[in-house]
Amino acid sequence: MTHPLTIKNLSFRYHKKTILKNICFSTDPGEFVSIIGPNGSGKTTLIKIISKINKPEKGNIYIKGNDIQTMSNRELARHIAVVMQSVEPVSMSVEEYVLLGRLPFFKKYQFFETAKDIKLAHKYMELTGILKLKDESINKISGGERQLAAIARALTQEPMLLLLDEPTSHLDITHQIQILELISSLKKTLCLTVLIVLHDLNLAAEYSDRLVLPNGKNGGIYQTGTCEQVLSEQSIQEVYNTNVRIQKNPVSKRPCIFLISQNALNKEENIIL
Amino acid sequence: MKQNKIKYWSIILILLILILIFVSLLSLCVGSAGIPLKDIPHILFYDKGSADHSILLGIRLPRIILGLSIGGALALAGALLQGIFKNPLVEPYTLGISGGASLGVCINILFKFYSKIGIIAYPLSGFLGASLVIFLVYYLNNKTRDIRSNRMLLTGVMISYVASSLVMLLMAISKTDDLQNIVLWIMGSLDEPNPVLIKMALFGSLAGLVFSYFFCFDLNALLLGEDEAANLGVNTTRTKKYLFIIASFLTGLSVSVAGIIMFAGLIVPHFMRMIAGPDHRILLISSFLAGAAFLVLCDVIARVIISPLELPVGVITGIIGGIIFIWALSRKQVTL
Repeated sequence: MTHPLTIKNLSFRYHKKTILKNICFSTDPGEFVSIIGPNGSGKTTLIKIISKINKPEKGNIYIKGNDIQTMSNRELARHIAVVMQSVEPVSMSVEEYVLLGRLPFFKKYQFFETAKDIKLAHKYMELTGILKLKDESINKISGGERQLAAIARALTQEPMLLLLDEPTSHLDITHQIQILELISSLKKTLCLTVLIVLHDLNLAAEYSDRLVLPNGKNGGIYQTGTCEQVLSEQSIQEVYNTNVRIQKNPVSKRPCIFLISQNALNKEENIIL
Repeated sequence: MKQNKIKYWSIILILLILILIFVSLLSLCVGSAGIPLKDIPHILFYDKGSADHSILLGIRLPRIILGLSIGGALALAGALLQGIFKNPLVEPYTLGISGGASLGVCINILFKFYSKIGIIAYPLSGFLGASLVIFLVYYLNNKTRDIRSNRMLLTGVMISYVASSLVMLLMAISKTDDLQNIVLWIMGSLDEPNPVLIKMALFGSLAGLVFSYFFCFDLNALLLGEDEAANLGVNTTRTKKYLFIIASFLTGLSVSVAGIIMFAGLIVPHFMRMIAGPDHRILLISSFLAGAAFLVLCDVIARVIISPLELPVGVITGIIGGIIFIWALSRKQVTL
């Protein structure tokens, strides 16, 4: 079976500082993989290397077995789509914005979108629930709606791998849940492989099939595995240097992380003593 | 939706072409010798030896063609640069590209390159000066990654000052006849007697328009930022390089033929973006047409406002453009 994404011995340095070192992992079709980890552990860099914005120092990335260095940007954009943290304000309409997702498929002397392009754009705007906003300007809609538009645009590229870089970090819980629900439903309906950078460990635990946890120190990976394997009090202590408690979420039975104030921790220690 | 868009775009194009025709006819009629519109066909076809005939074909028509080409070229260069830099205040003049081009042309006049390699030395030196500045401005600001910042604009303004100081230095050390050449040319005028340069301006600017259309989708993607454009499959480094070359070519050509014409490249794309929207498929051609009409109209104003004397057209575009620039700068939301 060819993996949608395989990363082999990937290293990256920025201003002589090692950001990523010997990263190896791969994803299965239809899998929802979250990259968690502290700030500065190279999560965004990894997304940028996979989408060919940054060039790795060493190592290879394969999309369905093809090395991305042998693919043109255009070719790559037909296989993977990226949703970034936020959408830059532009004065184009939501529909025009979503239609930009068809650019990698334009033929050489094609000047207008085909009926198929428009149909696809409408289909994914419908799916993300923003069809009613199609004539609004990207400038004027809310941050959550803008992220939905970005997802619709990414889906219009009809990718097999969807990369998302903290798509929910600026949003309230309503939109956070809405977007993650949407993405995990897409995974089933479109058999889309999802690689997502998430800061919120509880959201990651709730939705992911597998987690990748960088160690945050020398650019390597601390652990990859299921949520139960990766999220332990010990691993969080070692990687994040933070004392937490982990229990099962009463409904989903997934690991649930509790952050604790120093004050409460001290009290607990006193009781034990 | 697609039909609506094509319809809207067609209306814009037809209107712009009508305005262009109207302004051109106005420019044919108006001047120190007023020629009524209804007499023009008669003069053109039956009165070939007359003074009016030679005024129309020998003076006004070349001037209109030059105005159309230069206005179109500058507005197009402005639209391309605003697209790359994602900053609506960017244009050949504010980025210092015109300054670089004028320095190039000055060096050409002083060292008489034109006598060695012919008339092509003018656009060539303009192009070299322009591209030098554009790459300088870009790479001085490339490290910050925040290409949108006004830092780049400031760099451009500074380069513009340095270039104009160097031009003045060259003027100070030059001989009288060279000096006069430089002064006349720098003031910015559409009064260009050389038919070869006029042809060059016309075909050069049209070629610039055609080539820029190869990048209209890339420019649309660049509206979302460089990383997003790369995610949509645009080779941003290559695209920017080619667009810089086209913009320097258009600016160098304009400056070498017509001198420094300020702000035409700023306000025209700015307004067309407000009317036609940010899509470069319509923005490029409509900026070109509107820029052409704008410059011919400014030239008409320059010719009649203190008639029988004539102002340099750069003065008119400078005054109109400067005021609009301040207005655009003070608008709260300046987004592309």
